[in-house]
Amino acid sequence: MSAPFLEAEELVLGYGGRPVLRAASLSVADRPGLALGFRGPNGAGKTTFLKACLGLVEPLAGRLALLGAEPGTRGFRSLLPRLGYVPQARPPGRLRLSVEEAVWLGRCGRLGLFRRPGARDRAAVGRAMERAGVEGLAGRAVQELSGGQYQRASIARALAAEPELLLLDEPSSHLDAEGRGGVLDLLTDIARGGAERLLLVSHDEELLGLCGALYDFEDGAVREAAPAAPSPAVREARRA
Amino acid sequence: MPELWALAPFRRAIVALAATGLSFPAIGTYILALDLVSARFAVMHASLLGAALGLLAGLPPLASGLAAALAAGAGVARLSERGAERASGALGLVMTLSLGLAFIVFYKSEVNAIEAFDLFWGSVLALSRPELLLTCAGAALVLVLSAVFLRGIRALLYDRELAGVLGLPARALHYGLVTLICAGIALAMRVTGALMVDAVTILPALAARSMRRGLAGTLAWGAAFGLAANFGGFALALALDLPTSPAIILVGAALVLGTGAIERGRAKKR
Repeated sequence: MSAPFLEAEELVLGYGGRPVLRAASLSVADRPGLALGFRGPNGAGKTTFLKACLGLVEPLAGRLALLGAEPGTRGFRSLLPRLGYVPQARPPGRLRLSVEEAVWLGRCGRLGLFRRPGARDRAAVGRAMERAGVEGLAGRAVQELSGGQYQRASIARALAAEPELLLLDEPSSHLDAEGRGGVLDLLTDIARGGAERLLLVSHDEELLGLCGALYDFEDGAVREAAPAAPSPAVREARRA
Repeated sequence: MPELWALAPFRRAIVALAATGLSFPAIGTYILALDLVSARFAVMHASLLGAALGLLAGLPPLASGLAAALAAGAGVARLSERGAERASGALGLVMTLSLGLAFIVFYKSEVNAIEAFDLFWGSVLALSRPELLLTCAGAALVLVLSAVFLRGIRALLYDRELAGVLGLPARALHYGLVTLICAGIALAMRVTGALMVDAVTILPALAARSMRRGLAGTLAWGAAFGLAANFGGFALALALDLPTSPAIILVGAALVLGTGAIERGRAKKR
């Protein structure tokens, strides 16, 4: 029997000893193409939970395992290169990088610090840029992109890792209608392809319609919810 | 020129200008990308304290100043993990405390304060052979480590959290890079003087940033501008009988203004 996709037992998460999430327990069975959504108001602990899944936030108490690996363990460290992470939209740093260079960063986990990139790496980067529709932006600096373009470049970077699981934190927030539409279409295509599992943190009901499993975060607690109604585009994708 | 070349201080200066011009703009690029501009003052003052303690113990002030800079580097790395804004108060404390302790050492001991302050008033024409060797070794280390760890440094400077999630040793890379920055600052102090460290680090890096390249391109342009500023400034100093470090600053500033104007011109065309 395969390990659960995500498992938490009496998990307490917080910052500086102050809990944000109290004694959360959940178990989500794994299956190919699974899309899991976290929904809830600001400050409810969704992003903290996602960061704990990535080993960025250490639990104050309890146990957490993603794809059978507990953060901080050797097994988890070997899982990291097979994850694709798109953080909550934030302005790119001061280092000027072209979109292509930024997408190549997604390959760092697979390449490590010293291995030279080969044909497979180049193909993975090319495919990721094509899927995200950012090939035409390859030479542009990430600092010069619109919000929607930057988010698609970030998703391309995550896809370049050829991830088993994509973790996305509020991927459609702070975007104009056009940017949000582009991100929604891209994530719908990814969900339709079924090659990667998805873990989505969002307020966006339309985006959450992609998720076959949904959890609500509120007042420091987590509870399973009925999946959100899929949009017509998502319904079409699911039929396909 | 041949008669100048016959002078050992002149030959040492040429070698030091070549080594630091080629290598130290990389330090400036890292300082700018990590937003550690204020941290370099803390490192300079920690070096002064190290030099004072070294003189007290009968050690060469450059070596003890360098050791203090490396120790300060570990502290700066830890503080900078909190983010530039939150670290600024603590860095101010390190800077003031180092200065206060250095003056207490001067006051309470037989240490000649002027000798310790030589670290602040470094000059490329006053380098001894061991200082030149140390500077060249430091410059070579910056180049080698930048080349070997380019991929990790790029990921770290782009987004440290992301670098960690990618499975890279982000924390070790961060500490290593900040320590390298601090060692570079301490060595640059001896070449240009503490108050003019920016001449060989920040100014060429600023000019290189205006060339709008990725990390490797920025480092290459920084080296080109560093060499141009160092040798242009040195030539200007000889021609007009100016002090060397301020002349390097003049040429470096001209490069920053010139490349900035080119960048603005390009932006208007787009």
